[in-house]
Amino acid sequence: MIDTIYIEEAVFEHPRTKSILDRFPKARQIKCERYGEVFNPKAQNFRLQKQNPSLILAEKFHGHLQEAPLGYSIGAKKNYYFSHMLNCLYDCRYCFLQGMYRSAHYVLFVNFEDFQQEIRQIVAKKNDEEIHFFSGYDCDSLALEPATGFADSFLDFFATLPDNALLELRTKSTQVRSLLERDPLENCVVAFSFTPDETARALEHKAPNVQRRLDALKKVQDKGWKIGLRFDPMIYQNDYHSQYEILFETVFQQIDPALLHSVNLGVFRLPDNFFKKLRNLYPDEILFASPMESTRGMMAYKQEIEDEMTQSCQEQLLRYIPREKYFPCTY
Amino acid sequence: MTAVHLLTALPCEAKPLVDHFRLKRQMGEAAFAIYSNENISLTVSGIGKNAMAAATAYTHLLFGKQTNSVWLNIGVAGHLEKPIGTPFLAEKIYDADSKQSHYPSFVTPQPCDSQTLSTFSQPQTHYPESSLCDMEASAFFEIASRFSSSELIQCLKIISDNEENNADKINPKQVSSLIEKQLPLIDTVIKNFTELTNSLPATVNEIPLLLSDRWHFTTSEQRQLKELLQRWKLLSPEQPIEESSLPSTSNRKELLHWLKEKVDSFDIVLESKER
Repeated sequence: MIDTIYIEEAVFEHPRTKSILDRFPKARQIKCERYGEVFNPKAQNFRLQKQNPSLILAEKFHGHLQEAPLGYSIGAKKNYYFSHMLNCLYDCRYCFLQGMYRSAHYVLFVNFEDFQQEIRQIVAKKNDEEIHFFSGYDCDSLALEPATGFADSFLDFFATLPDNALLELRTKSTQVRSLLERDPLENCVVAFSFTPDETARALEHKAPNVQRRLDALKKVQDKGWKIGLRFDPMIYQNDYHSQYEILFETVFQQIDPALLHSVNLGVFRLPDNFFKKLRNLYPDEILFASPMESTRGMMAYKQEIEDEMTQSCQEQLLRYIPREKYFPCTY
Repeated sequence: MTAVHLLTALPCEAKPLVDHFRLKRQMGEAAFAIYSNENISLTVSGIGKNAMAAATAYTHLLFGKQTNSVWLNIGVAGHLEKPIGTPFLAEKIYDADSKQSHYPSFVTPQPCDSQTLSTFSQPQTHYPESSLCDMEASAFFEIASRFSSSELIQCLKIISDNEENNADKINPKQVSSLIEKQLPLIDTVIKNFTELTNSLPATVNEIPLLLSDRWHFTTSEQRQLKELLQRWKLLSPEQPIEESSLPSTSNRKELLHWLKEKVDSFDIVLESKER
């Protein structure tokens, strides 16, 4: 799966580096000084690299946590995201990461403990205020779990924090073993992302199909973990209404309302410069030929389409869930 | 159309490649010896980083400044202990003067082992501990990556000398022979790269005559028009633009508006790719 691993010299002896290298014994190992030497050069083609991305093992020195954009919330006023990894195992055509990074290589920051220390400091400052920490912003939280042990490490850590500090694991993955092998945490939501089957087949390359995601969700839910549902981004097609109708029906047949923590909904949108880069990378992609317009630096479906989709899907969704669990994405 | 650019430092490195690919010398080129056929060019730079940088840039200009071309530096290199004749791709290219490193991306399957390659300005009397050494690769990579993407740029080096068989013992004939023995490998590397570059889609680059004859677009309008034509091609490939359907206006903005309205009205059906 991974045949080249770049390793920052400073983390070569890190225990997490060693355990990851042990998992890929045949991978070519190439040392570098800083991950940016490999990840940041201009002359890279994301589309070509995505055919066979390498792994870069690095250390993050500062800025471990970022405040989440306004409107990126599932109920708390204070929201942070953190990225132990840059880029995703999957190849979803709508993903903003393709516009944000020049490289498709996966960067894994092995110094998890520094992220955790910063989280602990934030939690200590906020006393009883509810704070949410999102882990699946620049990557899928669980997709590379067998190699990274990310969830294992962070669940151990969040178990030591008060319940007002909540961790969201966001995923399309079926790598849920680490969740099934431990007791559920009160302060963790395992959020699964869905698009209708037709959209997933067309756009979510390399990701498990909708049914396999649902199977994983069911197992996690049966174990007692709180579940989140993320219908973001919503993708427009002629038949979107009936496609989302079927998706909601299929998903909510499996959901235990008592364990459903939150549901969000957000229409596809990208910053203008990201959209432009994606369209240049994938000029053959119908998604980017859809009727879009730019408003205040964000490219999104034409307003009438966006309004119609939001209203239609919201109405359908609220047949299944109480309003207090619904969080539209407004950023 | 030439899409693969080979660069060597020495004529003896180039000779087996010229023969194998049946390349013809480009007449009238005095700065560098340059050979080509329909798909492949080969430029002999001479020794050293400056010569290689100039040759790489010259090749880019001479062959029409194409994007997404394949760039391959083929040549011999020294190593402390690796056996003579062993081929390596460069996994990291270290410039011993600037101390900068470059990292070619490995996207295609690699048909031989890879090593770090260090580039020096002067011939080395002592081999580096754990890398190949040459006198051109860092300049080649640095300049080629201004014109193409790092997934399409590589250095293939064949060991010509080591501590036991010093560089001054080898002659041009032996160098040609070392390269010649690796021609099947070179074929594979070029084939892999060509497949990779061919995987990139074509875009609408030409404005059809039925539009350009009637309207004279500014650069910005041409960009907008090409985007709209690309969308049209994707969303309605069976229904090309017909002259009879075009609006009668002579106003370019009105035409663009008409096109946008038309394209925005097409059905959106995403194409499923079975997994």
